[in-house]
Amino acid sequence: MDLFLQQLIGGIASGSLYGILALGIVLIYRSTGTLNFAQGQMAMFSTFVAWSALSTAMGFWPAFFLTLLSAMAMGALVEWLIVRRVEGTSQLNSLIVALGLFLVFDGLALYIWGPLPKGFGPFSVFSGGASCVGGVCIGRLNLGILAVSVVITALLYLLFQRTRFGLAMRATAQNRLASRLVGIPVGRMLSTGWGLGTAVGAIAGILAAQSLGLDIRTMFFVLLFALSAAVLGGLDSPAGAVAGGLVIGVVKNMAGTYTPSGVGSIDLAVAFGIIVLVLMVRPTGIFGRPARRRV
Amino acid sequence: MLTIKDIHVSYGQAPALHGVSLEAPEGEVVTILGANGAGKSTTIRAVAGLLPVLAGSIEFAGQDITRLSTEAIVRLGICAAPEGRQLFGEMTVLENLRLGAYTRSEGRGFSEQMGRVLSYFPALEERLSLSSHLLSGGEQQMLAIGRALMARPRLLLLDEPSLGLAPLLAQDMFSRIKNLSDGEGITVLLAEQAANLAVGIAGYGYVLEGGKVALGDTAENLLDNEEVRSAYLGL
Repeated sequence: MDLFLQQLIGGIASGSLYGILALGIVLIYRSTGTLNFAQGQMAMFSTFVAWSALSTAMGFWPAFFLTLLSAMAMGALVEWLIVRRVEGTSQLNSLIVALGLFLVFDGLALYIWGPLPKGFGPFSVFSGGASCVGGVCIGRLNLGILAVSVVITALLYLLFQRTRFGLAMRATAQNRLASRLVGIPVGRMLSTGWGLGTAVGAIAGILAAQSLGLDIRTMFFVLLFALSAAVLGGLDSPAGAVAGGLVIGVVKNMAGTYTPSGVGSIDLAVAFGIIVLVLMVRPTGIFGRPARRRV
Repeated sequence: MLTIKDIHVSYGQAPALHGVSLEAPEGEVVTILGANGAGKSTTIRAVAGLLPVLAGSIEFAGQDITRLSTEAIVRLGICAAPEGRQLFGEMTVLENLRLGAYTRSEGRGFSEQMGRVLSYFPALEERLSLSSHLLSGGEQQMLAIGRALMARPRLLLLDEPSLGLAPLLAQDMFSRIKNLSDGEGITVLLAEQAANLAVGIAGYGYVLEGGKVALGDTAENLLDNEEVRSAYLGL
């Protein structure tokens, strides 16, 4: 029982990391309909920015906010300069653009920061002993990731559900034409969606690098799971992204624990097998809403 | 209030309007009639800033709005209830009305304006927390117009408000439109296929044919015109 609980908690912790990156993916998908394969590399890039900022003497919080702001600007700029050109053309175009962005950020990071892994944390808040209840323990880092994901989800929820700006963002995601007709600056909303998504990705990157270290490959697997989480939860649903992340984290951990050892990465196969099963039953994801039309 | 001078509009390569001119005096209901594809919706969209105007000009309250963005046009006081209603289907009626007031969000004004909108469309009041795609066709149309009214427009653009409504409901819709135009002093530009109903509440009417104005006159004269009666009004 303790083993089960232990693996459950570990799964929830890693799952909430996937959930954060998945949230970023969903924010971007909702704004321009782009499935952003570059999300992981953009997050990695932002994490390098954070690393550079931290290696100056500015201190943690200034560095953190500088990273968020630069990530936001980066995302908005990418939407404005590049993504907008292929908007409304075929899905394939936006797919190719996303893959292109992946390569651009990959190459840029390699060019600026080089191929060698950088030490990145764990920050002092995340180091220290684990907290245990009975025989079940959770490390400080995992606890931190969990707390951050709860805070981000709550903040985004408040932003989208309780503010005029959030209402306009949701409106833009739902119906562009109607949004223009009520006077919403639609272009600015789309850029902001990309900016927010990229900033959320930056936080995921910083957290991931705490345990994985920082190099250009840090986010590869995180992205894979986050994309799956977003698809599993429903690409247009922020709540679904978080839930999908948790499901994937837990399933992956359980599969790793309860399948015979020596079969290599069977946990991945099981995790993805389950995603395929869910999508066969609900093609729009657990929380995704089928497009509805009434004439 | 609104003066359209000789505008040319195309969809890509396909020309849709070749020199449409019309005028909507302040406080009047002006209707645009014509067959499918005559350019009624195109004219409405051009005024709303949804389509680029290739030549000619559109003036509103003495200001040239030909090249303004839709957002700027809304802020000047021109709001549209477009063809197909274009509601935010997954959102509640209240949220739709909130979004209608997006350009005017000052707390107090909102509830006052909502009170006025609900006085013209009382059926919406008990539906406020309902998701708007669950409304009936008539209620959806009321919401589309109500949402446009939330921005306190001086000019209201309506595209086929009778579309999909049973004849009695359509008639009711038009008398509500007339009421709110009179009550609020709003100028209304109304594109409509149900010409007899539209002319009934309008002061002026324009008949479009193949992207051009074939005829423009007072509603009374249109009703007396034999050709118009037989071709458009079905009388």
